[in-house]
Amino acid sequence: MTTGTSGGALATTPPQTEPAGGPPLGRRLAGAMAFDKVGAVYVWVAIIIVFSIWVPDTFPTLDTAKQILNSNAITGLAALAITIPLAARVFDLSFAFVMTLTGVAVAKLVVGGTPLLVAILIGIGIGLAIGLINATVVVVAKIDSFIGTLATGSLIQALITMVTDDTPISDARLAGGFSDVGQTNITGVTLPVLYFALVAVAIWYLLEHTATGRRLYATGFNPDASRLAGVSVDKLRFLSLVTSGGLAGASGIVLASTLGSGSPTGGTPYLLPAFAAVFLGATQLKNGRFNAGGTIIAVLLLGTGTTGLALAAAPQWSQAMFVGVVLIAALAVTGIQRRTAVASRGSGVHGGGVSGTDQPDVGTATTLTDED
Amino acid sequence: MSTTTGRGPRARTWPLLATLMALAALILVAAGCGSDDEGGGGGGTSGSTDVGAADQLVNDKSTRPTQINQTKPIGKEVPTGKKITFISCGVEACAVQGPILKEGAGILGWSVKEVGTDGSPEKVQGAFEAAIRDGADAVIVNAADKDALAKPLADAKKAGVEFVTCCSLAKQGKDVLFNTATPEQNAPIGEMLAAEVVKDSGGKANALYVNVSAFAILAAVGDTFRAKYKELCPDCKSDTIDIPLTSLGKDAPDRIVSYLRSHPDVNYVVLSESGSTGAGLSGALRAAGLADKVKIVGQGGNEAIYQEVEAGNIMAVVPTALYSYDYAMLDALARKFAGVPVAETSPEFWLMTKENAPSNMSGPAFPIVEDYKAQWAKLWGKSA
Repeated sequence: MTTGTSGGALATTPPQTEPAGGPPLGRRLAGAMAFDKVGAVYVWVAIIIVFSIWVPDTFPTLDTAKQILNSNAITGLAALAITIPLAARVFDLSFAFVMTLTGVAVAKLVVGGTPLLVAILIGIGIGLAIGLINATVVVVAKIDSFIGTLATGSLIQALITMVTDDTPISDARLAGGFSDVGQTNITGVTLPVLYFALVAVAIWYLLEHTATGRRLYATGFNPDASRLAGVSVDKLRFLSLVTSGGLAGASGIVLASTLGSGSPTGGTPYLLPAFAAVFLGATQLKNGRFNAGGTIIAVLLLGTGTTGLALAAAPQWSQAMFVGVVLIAALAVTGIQRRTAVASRGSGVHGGGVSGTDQPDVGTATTLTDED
Repeated sequence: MSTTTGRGPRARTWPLLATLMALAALILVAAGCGSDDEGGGGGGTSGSTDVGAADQLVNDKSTRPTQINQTKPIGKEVPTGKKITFISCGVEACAVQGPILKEGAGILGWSVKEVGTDGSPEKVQGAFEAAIRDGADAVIVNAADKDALAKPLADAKKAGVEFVTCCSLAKQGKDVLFNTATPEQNAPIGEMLAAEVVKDSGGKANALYVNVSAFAILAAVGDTFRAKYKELCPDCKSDTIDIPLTSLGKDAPDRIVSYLRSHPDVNYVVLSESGSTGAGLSGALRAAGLADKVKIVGQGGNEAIYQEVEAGNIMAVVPTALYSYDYAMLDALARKFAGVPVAETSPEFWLMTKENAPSNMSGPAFPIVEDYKAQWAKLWGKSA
C-alpha cells in the first residue's frame, strides 16, 4: 500500500494503468458486482430462489422480508458494534456482556423510577465507560485485546450478577415507553431495524469517507507502518474500543426493550452470531476489510437462510449448521482468493496488476487472530 | 479499494464452489427435514369433541389453591440448628429459590448457606464436596443430575449428609431422600393446558406445542398435553416444534413466528416453559401481525410472563410453584431429622388467567397458596 498524509489523510495511489477519472462506468459496475466482491449477494439470491421454490406459499412475501429484518436487527447492531475495533485489528469480546449489563441496568433504573431518557443515557454511558476500561486495558496496559476484553467481560459478568442476582428484571413499568423503544413497529418493521440502518450508515460514512476511517484501516493492516506515517495508532485503537462499548451498550438497551425485561443472560447469545456476521461481511465489498455494507449483507444472508429454514420447518439443528457452513465457505474462499492473487502477482500471471491499495486487504479477516 | 484482476481460472471456480457448498448444506437440511419433521403429529382421527369435559377440568383448576397439598403433621419434635447447603445453579429459578429456602429454614430454626455455581457439573460437584467437608447436615441441588453427582452422593451417604432435590429425573432411593416436581408430578400441567385450549376454542383448536427437549423434566408435560388434547378433541390438530437451548433469549420468538407464518391455521401456542420461550414472543407476534390470530398458554413463567397474562397478551399459564418445591424439600428433611418417614406430597398447580390473576404478583415468584407459611409451620409444630 502506498501511504501518505496528503491533507492529513492517508492517501491511496490510483492504479497507474487507469486513465484519469477512473475506468468506464460499465467496467466499474462489473468490478463492483464481481463474485469476489459481492459473492454473498449471489449466494443470497440463490438462497432466496431455493426457499421460494421450497416454501412458495410463505417465503417469497413481504412479511418474510419484514420478519428477516425484525429478527436480525439486534444481531446486526451487535455486529456493527465490533466492526470498528476489528477494522483497527482489535478484538472486543466483552461487547455481549456490555449488552447484557446495559440492558439490566436500564431496566433497573426504569423500574426504580428514573425517567426513560435519563436511564437510556446512563445505559449508553455505562457502555462508553466499559469501552474506556477496555481501551485502557488493551492500549495503555498493552494487554492482548483477545485476552484483555475476555477478562473485562468476566468482570462485567460479575457486575451483572451483582445487579440482578441472576434474576431477570421485570416490572409493569417496563411495559410502557421502555418496551416501545424496541417493540414499536411501523407497518410491520420494528424500530431496531431503523437503528441498525442508521448505525450502518454512520459506520459506512466513517470508514469509507473520512480520514479517520482510512487511518483505522491502515492501523488494522499495519500498525507499525501507520505509526511511521504519522497515524495515532494507539489513539485510534483506544477510541475504537470506546465506540464499541457505546454501541454495544445501546444495542443492549434495544435488546432489553425488545424482550420487555432486563435479562441477566440477554447479550451472550449474540457473541458468536455477531462475529460470524462481521467476519462474513469482511469478505464482501472490501475484500477482507471489515465494513458496514458487508456486515449488512452478511446479516441479511444469514438471517434469510435461518428464517427460510424455520419457515420450511427444518429440524432445529439446521440453522446452526447453515451458519457454520456459509461462514467456513466464505472465509475459505476469501483465503484462497488471497493466496491465488498473491501467487499470480508473484509469477506475473496477470496483466492488470494489483493496485497499490490492494495490500491492506490481504487476509485481514482470515488471518486476524494469527497476527493480532 | 482493491482491484484484483487477472486471476487464473482456478481462482474463479472457488467462489462457485462456495455457493454450491452453501446450497448443498441447504439440500442436506431439506433431506434431514424430510425424515425428522412432524414429531407431534396431527389429530385427524374423527371423534366427538368433549368441550364439556374440558370446561369441567378448566373450572376445577381455575381456582387458586388455598391449601397446601401436604396435610400430614410431623407429630414429633423437629431438631433445630441444622445446617443446610443450597447449591445454586446460576439460573433464575435457583436465584429465586435461595431466599425461599432461607425463609422456610428460619421457621425450623435452621440455617441455609447458599453456594453460587454456574450449574456446570464440575462446579456443582466441587460445591457438594465442600459442603460435606463443611459439616452440612443436608445438601439441596436443583435439577440434580444423579449420574453426574454419583461420587459426592456416595460421599454424602458415608458422611450422613442428607440430599434432597427438585425438578430432577432422579428417583428417590438410597442416595436421594426426596425429589419434588418430578415428571410424574408435572404431568397434570399438560392436561390443564390441553383443556384450556380445547375449551377456549370450542373444539376448533389447532395448537403448536413449543418444546425445549433439553428440559427433560418437562417431557411428561408434552406427553400429557398431547394425550389429553386428543382425548378431549380428536379432530383438533396439533404439532410440536423443538427450540434449542441456544435459541432461548435470542431467536426463540422468531422460530415460533416462522412456524406460525408457515402454518396459518394454527390458532394456539402452548409453551412448555413460558419464562424462557415466551420472552419477547408477544412483541414478535405483534410485529408479524399475528397477535390477534393466535392465543398463548404455557407452563411456568416469571414476573414478565405474569404481567403478560395480566395484560391479556398470554391467555393462561400454570405458574411455577417454587415456594411449594422449596417448602416440600424442607419438609422432607424435617421429617428425616425428626425420625419419621418422609411423606409424599406434590406441588399445587392452577390455571392462572387475566381474570383470576392475583394482584400481588410483584417479584420473580409468588406463592401459589397465600398462607403457605402458616400451613407448613403448623405441620412442623412451629410458629410462622
